[in-house]
Amino acid sequence: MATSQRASRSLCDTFSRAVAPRYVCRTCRSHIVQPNVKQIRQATYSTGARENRTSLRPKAWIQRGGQPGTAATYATTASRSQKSLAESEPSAATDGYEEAHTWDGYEEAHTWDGLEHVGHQGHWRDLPPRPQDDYEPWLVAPAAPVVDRNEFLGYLYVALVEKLPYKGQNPALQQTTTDRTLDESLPIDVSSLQIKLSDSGTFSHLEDKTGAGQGKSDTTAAEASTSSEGSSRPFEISVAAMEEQLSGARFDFSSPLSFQILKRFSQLSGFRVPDPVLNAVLRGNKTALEFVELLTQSSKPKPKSVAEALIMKQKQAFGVDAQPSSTSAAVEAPNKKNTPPKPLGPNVMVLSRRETPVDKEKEVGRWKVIERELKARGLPVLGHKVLAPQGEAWNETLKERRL
Amino acid sequence: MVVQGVKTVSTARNGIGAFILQCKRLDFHYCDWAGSSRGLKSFLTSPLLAEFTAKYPGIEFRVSPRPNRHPILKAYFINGREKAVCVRNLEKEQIVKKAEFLVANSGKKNELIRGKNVVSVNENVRGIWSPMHGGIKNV
Amino acid sequence: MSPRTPITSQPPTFLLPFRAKLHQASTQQAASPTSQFHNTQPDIPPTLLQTTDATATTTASSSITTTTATVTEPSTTQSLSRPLVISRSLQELLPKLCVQKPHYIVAHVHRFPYLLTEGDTLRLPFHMKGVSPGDILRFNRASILGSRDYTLKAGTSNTESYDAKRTAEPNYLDERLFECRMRVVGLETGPMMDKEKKKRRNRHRKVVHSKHKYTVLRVMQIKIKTLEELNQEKGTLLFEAQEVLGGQAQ
Repeated sequence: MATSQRASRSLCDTFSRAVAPRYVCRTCRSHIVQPNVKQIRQATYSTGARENRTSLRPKAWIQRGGQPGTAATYATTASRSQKSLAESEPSAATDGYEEAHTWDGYEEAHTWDGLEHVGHQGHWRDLPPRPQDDYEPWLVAPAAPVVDRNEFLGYLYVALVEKLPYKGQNPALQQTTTDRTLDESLPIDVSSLQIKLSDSGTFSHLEDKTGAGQGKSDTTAAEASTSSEGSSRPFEISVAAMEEQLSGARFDFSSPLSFQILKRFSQLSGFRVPDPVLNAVLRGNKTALEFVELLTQSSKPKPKSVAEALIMKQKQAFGVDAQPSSTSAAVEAPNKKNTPPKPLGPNVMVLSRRETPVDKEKEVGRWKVIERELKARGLPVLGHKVLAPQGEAWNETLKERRL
Repeated sequence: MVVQGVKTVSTARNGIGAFILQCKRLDFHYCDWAGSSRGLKSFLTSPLLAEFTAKYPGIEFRVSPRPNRHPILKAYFINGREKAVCVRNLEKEQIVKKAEFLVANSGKKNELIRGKNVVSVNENVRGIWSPMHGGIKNV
Repeated sequence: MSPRTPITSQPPTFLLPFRAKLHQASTQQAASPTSQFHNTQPDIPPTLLQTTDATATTTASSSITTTTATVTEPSTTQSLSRPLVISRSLQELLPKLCVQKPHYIVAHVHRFPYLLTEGDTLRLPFHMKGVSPGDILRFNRASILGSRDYTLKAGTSNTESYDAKRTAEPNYLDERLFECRMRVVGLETGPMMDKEKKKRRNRHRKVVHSKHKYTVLRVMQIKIKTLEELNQEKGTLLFEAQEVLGGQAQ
């Protein structure tokens, strides 16, 4: 790198010196000037990077525990790359800059020594990974993402407990103010904590519960705060209690704390919060519970084809659709608002694939004859796939209802 | 009173007593992938479909994909003919109009009729003019 | 006068196609035609309606033409609020017209006359909005009601102007005198017409496409009301002269 820089620089210089006109036209001037500008910009960039590095250093280079996905930060990759940049770049840049100015010390290169590589090395994906390429993702998406509302709620609660500043007497919590992870090493009782809201309804801090409300008996209702990595979590709190604490709470999008909470939430649940959802929450000034609702809705898989969608709608309309996620009655209550759509009548037939001529023959009843004749002539018989009209199923259910 | 001959067997004239829609089946063909089916797909997934099909319980509706083709509505009529309307890039409200037109259609060929608005199979009410009867003037 | 009975009843089931059963369940057909008919209100009251201008033209086999002209009362107001005045000649001739069975009517839609008999198909030269197939309409504008020998005409408006006679709104019969029921059968289109627009000495040519829709109707019933029926309608009937008793006695 250094050599190439040096070469271009020197060439330009020689050119400009050789010409040395009194008047230079605009195009030529720009042509001459441009490489210099580039050079300068590079130089400034390197210095700027150094400044950035120094400013970022205290925040970004706090080494978290080695758990992947739990305590990684967005800044990890950036800091690493900057680190490598800081190691490699300044020397090169400064060298180039210095040497370009000292014209006398220029020596024309005759060998390839000092070059990192010669020629094309191949496609990047064929190259072996370099140490700079290695990075640690801040979020590892699990194979089966969470779609349950209770789980979302639990993860949000855990994220809140972890990220909100604590104002209380428990020394274990006070030690680690910003980043504490709820696991066995932290001897606290989650149910004794209380999320405090500020006057405007945003999350403010954590507190101990003043009353001796330890006897939350209904922990069996839903094990909400079970996370993916540890099932033997001792912190248990009921869904109702969480809802009660989170009711009316809003995100304050001006404070960086919300970002921390949401990020932690994403890490825990393995579900990236979609931008439209966040936008809806931000614009509509929605509460945390509504946020969870929106997430649950958006996380549901959408039907791929129109036929699937129609069948789903029909099932919904008849109430055939058994929802496996309905574990507790408390969850069902807010879902009441989506009324079932009007069902399609018995005169509607929904087919999931194209209607072929074979299907038409089958419908008429002529196919048996054709098949027999084909076989008699030793010809191949095609079209074995049965075109099952999707209307059959719901017509049957409809009949049963009427009976 | 005029002497009337023996009446023939009545011809079927739809609408005088009972009324029967001439369309017996309507197919909605769409493509899951192509963008020209966007309107038809939104029509099919909207409650408009249920409303429309409930309005005509005597007509069979079929919804089936037809991949890599433009969306069409295809109507089959009692007289054995069929009519297809391409609904590519149409919005769902426009598609409802097209479907209603097909349902109301008689399935006959489109013919240019100039001036003959009334078609009658009845014989003339006032009889045929005859030079032998009535209004004979003596000059 | 009794209308032909099968008008309101359906053909026997075995004559109906299979689908007829299904369609009868629809909401359009739910009410019986008669009740529907009585429910219909004339939404457009005739603006210029001549109450009774009966020009009963008798062209009987005796080949004597008798023209009975009565007093014309050009009324510009609402006809339904006014009582129906039946002239003496009408009292005399209306029963005869009612009895002579095949009737025809010259009904007007948007001022255009259509000569209709029962069972005719009328293809309106436009697409009527807001109707769906199976609906029943009542035509309330008619200028002529007639049978083989009798004709009930709405008189011409007495104007000297040739243009007014030609283009002005025609006179209509009172809509209480008759019932003309039409069934909306469907919607037809003409073929796509291509009209090439070309100016001379200019190579540009434009092709205009047009495809029009037409509503198709079928005449279900043409019924001329008898004097008894007219009499049953409350507060509408006025007899002109002393033949009232005679008229009622019929």
